[in-house]
Amino acid sequence: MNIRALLVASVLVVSGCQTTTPDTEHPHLVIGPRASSYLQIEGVQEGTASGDLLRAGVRLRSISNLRQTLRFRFEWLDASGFEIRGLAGRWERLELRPQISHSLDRIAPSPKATDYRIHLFDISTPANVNSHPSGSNP
Amino acid sequence: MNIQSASAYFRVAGMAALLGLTVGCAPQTQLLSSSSIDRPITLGLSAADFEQAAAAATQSMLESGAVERNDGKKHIMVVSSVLNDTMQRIDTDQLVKKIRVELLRSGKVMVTTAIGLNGAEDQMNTAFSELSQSRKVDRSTLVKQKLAAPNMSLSGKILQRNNRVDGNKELVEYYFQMTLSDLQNGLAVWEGEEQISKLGSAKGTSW
Repeated sequence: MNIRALLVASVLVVSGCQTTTPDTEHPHLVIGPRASSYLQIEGVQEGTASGDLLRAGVRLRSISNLRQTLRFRFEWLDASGFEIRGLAGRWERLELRPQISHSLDRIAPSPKATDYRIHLFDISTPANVNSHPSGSNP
Repeated sequence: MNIQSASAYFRVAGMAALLGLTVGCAPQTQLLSSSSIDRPITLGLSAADFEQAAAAATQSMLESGAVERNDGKKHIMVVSSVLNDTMQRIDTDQLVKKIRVELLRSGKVMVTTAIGLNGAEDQMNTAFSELSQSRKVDRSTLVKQKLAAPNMSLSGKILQRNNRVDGNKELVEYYFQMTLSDLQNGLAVWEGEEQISKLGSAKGTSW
């Protein structure tokens, strides 16, 4: 009985380690567990481009003393919460130099985009880490 | 079991074992992730490079406001020539199609398939005008063809430069140069260049 309880507790602890850190200050950001250890978010920007296309950006800094590689993507959502696919929503790679600020921004692929999420993960984060129930992230 | 049937049995068993070995040693075919950053990196041009170049071009176009119209209408774009000045045999449509899809999705631009430097891209446009003259066609089902003339043209060039580095390495640089021209006055309203550089072994080739 005790062994079973220990096993369940272990599974819960391991599962807990693989979830992302909810950023209450920046609700549009989804940050992976490893990336959150060295990322400092300086600000999130929002605007429009070409008239009616949503534009979003984030300014971040690596507080690590080592070079880090980030994988990121902008997820664009329509009014119903469905994802709008496009090149502006693909996974990309960013090399982070120590203590240097970096700026990322993208324009929504369609005027139907009304909301967005910016996913920031360390390149080594395993593909099975889920950030939210849609499960579309590596 | 007589000698003949035993021999046939061993022959079949031997062939089955050989087939099993062959299949077992063959490298397995893998389905790769649709995410370009998880795919293997090559010195030559790959789908990931075309994606990056197309994404950079469309983001830059949309950011510049060059494809924005304030009269509620959409631009009609024609695809002009995109030259391949690399050492590889590539279909430049791999780049152009991605840009077209993105621009169409943005709601700012439509692309004509009836007009092109080498005739209509979709030859049904021409075939339809001939078809409408045919007596075999039910006139009541005919729609009047009125092709939209383009007001913008997309052209470009893909270049490759190879340089030897440190004796045993090769630096391969690709340049994706694109221009959007206003056909009313012939002026370039947007121009962009995306550079992709790769460093690899000089023993391999990038084409």
